[in-house]
Amino acid sequence: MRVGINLLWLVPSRVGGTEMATVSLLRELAARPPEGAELSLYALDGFAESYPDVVRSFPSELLPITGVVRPLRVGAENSWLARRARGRVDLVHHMGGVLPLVQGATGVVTIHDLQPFDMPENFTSTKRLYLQRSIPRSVRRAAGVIVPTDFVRRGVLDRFDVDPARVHVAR
Amino acid sequence: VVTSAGTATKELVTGGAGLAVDPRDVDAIAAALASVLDDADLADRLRTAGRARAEATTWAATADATIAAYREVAAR
Repeated sequence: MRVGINLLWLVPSRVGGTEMATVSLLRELAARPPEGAELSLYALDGFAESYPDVVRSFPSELLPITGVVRPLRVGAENSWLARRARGRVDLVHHMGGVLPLVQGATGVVTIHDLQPFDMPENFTSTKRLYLQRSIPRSVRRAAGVIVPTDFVRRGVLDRFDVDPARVHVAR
Repeated sequence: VVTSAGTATKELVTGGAGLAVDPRDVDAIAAALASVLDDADLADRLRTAGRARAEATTWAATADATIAAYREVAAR
């Protein structure tokens, strides 16, 4: 099983607690490589600069953009990433909560929390609108949804029309 | 630990590993913090239960569950 991990959303120091959670998980996967699973990374140059140990631990393809300009980064997920993944991996795990519209392989998405719905005041209007549209779409289209807690799983099942068998708690 | 009720972090303190309060209620946050500072027995209980909860929540378990999810999706 070949799994590509989409980290193009992870602009270091700009994505909050999901950065620490994602890097901690990757370090654990690097320390104990799973049997029968080949993991590879798609990341920004800036991620490699901030976490060279993580990038050295997996086959990695780096995109030379900062990721700060969101439309450019989202465009890359829907073009560069899809092309790179097609035929090379069996799954792409989008760890940042959004599944691109264009997919190069079967998609799995991690939903870290439902803050854009539960605490919308924490977001700018543009980001809130983007996430409130893209998260439900991502959950419905993903072959699998990974969540960190039973609380988030209940929220996903209550809010979105999704088969409970597709929502996995990884804790 | 004093954390937010109504969010995923509440799950981490159920069973006495911390106190969960409404994150929008400043008085409730202050009261919870004060109770931990003023009540040494409560602080001890929370400390013990919190450490036990932290030790049971590992990245190794998260990694195993993530790989299991991949296998389930790939098998469909």
